[in-house]
Amino acid sequence: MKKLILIFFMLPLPLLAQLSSFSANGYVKYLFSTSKFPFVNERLNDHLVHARLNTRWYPAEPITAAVEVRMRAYYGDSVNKMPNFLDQIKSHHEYIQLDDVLWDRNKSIGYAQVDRVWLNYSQNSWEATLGRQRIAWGTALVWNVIDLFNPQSILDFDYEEKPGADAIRIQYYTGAVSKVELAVKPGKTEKRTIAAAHFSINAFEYDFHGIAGIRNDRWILGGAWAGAIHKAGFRGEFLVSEAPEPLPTLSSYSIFPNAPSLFQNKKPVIGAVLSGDYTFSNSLYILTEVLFNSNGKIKNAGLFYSQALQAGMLSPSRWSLFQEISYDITPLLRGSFYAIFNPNDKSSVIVPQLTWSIATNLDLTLIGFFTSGKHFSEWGDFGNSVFGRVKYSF
Amino acid sequence: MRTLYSAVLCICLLLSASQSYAKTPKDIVKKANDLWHGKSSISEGSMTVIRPGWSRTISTKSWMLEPDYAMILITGPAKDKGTVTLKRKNEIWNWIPAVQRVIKIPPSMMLQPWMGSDFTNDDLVRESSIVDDYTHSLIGEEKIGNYDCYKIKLVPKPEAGVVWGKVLMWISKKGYLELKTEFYDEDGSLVKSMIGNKIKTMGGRTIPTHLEMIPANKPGKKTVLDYKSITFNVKIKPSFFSERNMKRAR
Repeated sequence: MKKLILIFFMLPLPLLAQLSSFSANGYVKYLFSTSKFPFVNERLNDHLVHARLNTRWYPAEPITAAVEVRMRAYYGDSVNKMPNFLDQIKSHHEYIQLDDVLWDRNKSIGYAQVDRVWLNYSQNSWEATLGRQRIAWGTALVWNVIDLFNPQSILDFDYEEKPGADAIRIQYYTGAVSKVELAVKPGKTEKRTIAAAHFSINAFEYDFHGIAGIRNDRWILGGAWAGAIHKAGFRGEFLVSEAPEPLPTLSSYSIFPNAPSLFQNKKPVIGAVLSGDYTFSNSLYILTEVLFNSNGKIKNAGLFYSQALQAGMLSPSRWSLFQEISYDITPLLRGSFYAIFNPNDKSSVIVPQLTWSIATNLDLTLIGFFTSGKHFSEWGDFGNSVFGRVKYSF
Repeated sequence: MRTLYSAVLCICLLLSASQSYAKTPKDIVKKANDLWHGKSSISEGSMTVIRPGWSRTISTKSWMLEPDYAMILITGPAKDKGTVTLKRKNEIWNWIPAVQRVIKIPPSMMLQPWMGSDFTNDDLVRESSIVDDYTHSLIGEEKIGNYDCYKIKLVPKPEAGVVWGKVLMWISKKGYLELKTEFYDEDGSLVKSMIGNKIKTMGGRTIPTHLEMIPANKPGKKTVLDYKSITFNVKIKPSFFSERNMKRAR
């Protein structure tokens, strides 16, 4: 693996980039963070250098190949003070990992991974993609309940590309903006296999989506739409799945072995998102989203994070409310502010952010991450962090 | 990301369809206007916002089929490169390659000026109205650079709902090039000027390939459009403007 990455970084990219059949871009970021978590005595200060290289190769008209590599070097207190730090930053794939721990020392870890590697064949109305890719069907901007293959969290702000899934995807375009498709992410057991069919159509100036498939050995049905009411964006998603069978390993994911599980309920599980946004002519932008999870908890949601993750739920709580407001303070300085609020246990996270375009390809971002709530509430045990980030894109 | 659409629309702003002949002031304006128009086009260009102390450039490649279809690929800067905007009639989608995702863009997001550009929403939509929504009169002849020009005054028709009090245009006698345009408010004060130069032959037409929009009384500020290439009346069908091609644009 090390050799593979080494070879990749030694490719004569500037030379290759001159060929129109090859392109490369990426970025280098430095992120400083200082955090205080309720369950760690001291404040944790950390440094992260994060580099990314995206490459595309177009060997023939219908074929596109992509390889994208991500390398992170951590130095700081979290490396040895946070439990299972390495496990938390690693990605986990069913068959092939394509990653490497470059070094693992007391206060420092280097980790590289290939998070996209796919081959696409596109001819007439047909398209097939094989490999580590993103299959993003959702229409909402914060929570996507119909993104079965690669659920992700808005809180992981430093991973803009989001994780990929090892899958086979076949698409057939029935029109300019309509298609049917089939996607399969094979797993070593039936429970870990995800397979789904998807269609999208465009009518009345709306996009409509429908999906049907199998996840965790349970049938799922879902749909989504995206359109506008007057000039405001209006979108939503819903997903209904058979009541999950309690997985035998689940109790170990809870802090208390006998704690109630997310899977006690024998009724079908409904997840739904409603989303609206509006941009004013002075650049003021507002985005509101609501997430509902019929199996979510109204108390002590914080205890069910691992179970929710295991079940592919985006939140362990019954209701989640998201509100964002952002504004261009100057053309080069954008301020934004978002909050996620749990109306059941009254816990919340507030995330203010300032992004300054220092130069054409250089951005400075300051982000705060402030939580409040009781112990075991959804957000109560997350602590507070402040981040500073410099990003150079090439 | 959300503000990019207007920027790329700016770069493509001067493209739509028709033909003309005679030499009334209205016909001269129409001829100058028609120079930029073709039923379809493929163009590459950039927009640079210049401010005291900084400047930012966005560059694009675009495919257009008037009046309903457009596809615009951002070719720079690096952080936005590869993003594609697809327009079909009243609907707009973005392709974000980093997350391999299509996002439908609501109408309120469409016409946000990029980086405080001096081209405004009104400049983007003016093409439909510059001929029909004004009364035109020839008020003189002046030289701009080496070109003898008609100086034409445009006064908006009362019912047109145009934001300007009046517009002055300098259009070359030879080739009908719009070399200078001044926009005045309703009190008669100059608001901004557009200058066209670097006249070149592109796609079989002689056109100004460098356009500067300069706000009045704001030293050090302007917005510049540069065309690298334009091909007019290319053979593309509405079906070209598709989700599949949006993902493959390069």
